[in-house]
Amino acid sequence: MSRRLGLFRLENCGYAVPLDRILRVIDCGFCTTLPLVSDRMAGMLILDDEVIPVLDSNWLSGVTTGQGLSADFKILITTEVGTVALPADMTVGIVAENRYEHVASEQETTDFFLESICYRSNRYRVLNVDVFMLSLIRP
Amino acid sequence: MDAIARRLLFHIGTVGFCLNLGELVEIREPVTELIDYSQADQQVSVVGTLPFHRTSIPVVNLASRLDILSVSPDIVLILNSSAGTWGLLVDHVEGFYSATEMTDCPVPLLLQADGWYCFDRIALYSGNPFLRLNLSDCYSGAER
Repeated sequence: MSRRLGLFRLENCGYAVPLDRILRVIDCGFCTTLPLVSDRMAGMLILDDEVIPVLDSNWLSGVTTGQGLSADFKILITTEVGTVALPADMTVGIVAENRYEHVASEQETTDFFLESICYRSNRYRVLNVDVFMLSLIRP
Repeated sequence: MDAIARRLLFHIGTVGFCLNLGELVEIREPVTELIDYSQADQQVSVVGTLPFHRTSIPVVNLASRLDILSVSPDIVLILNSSAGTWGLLVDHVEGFYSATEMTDCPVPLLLQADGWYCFDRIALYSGNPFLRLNLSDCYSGAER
């Protein structure tokens, strides 16, 4: 079965998440800050009597810090440490593997963005969720 | 038993907190004029002392330690913990509510602070989060 990706944009940066890691996309939602969280976290989303950590926007290189809570969409993903919300300004859609092209990475890559794809002339960096979560737990 | 089943909800700045009613002795307000600020001990977040039953008790302000913007706190919750009787400066008291009306959630791993930590769970009341204070971590007495 071919891999499918959910595509999102945050402040003009595109990122992609494997579809099997996406639980739900929330439009707005009630978000608030929490004292003493690390600078990688923006705060928390309260949803269905559950507290979900919201990542700050600064984990995407070139994106302004502090935009995590105000982003229009929250992408809920499943991880080893429970549900986590990623901020997004725009949801682009879901694409199957035969609809996008793998491209050589031009930007500085991090451990959790191992590859990039091109879809309709836009570049999206593919998030490796497991590696990313490890980097948050053991920075 | 009834006191344990009820909780006090309050705010420091815009952040909601809660504690068991059994930990509360009294609520004092206004207090700004009553606090002796010459007795401050910043190392343990004590901003001064407050007269209480012919003695004086330390008043703790957690706002700066928690990096919370607290504009004009003028209410002191007088509390009883292992450190004795002491006061906690807060901005607003929401009221007393039954614990059965709240949902308690653990603080997710990614939201736990690395160092000092004074809340261990998050109580959700009407969809709003209130951090459950662990009083022994808030104030453990004067530094010796």
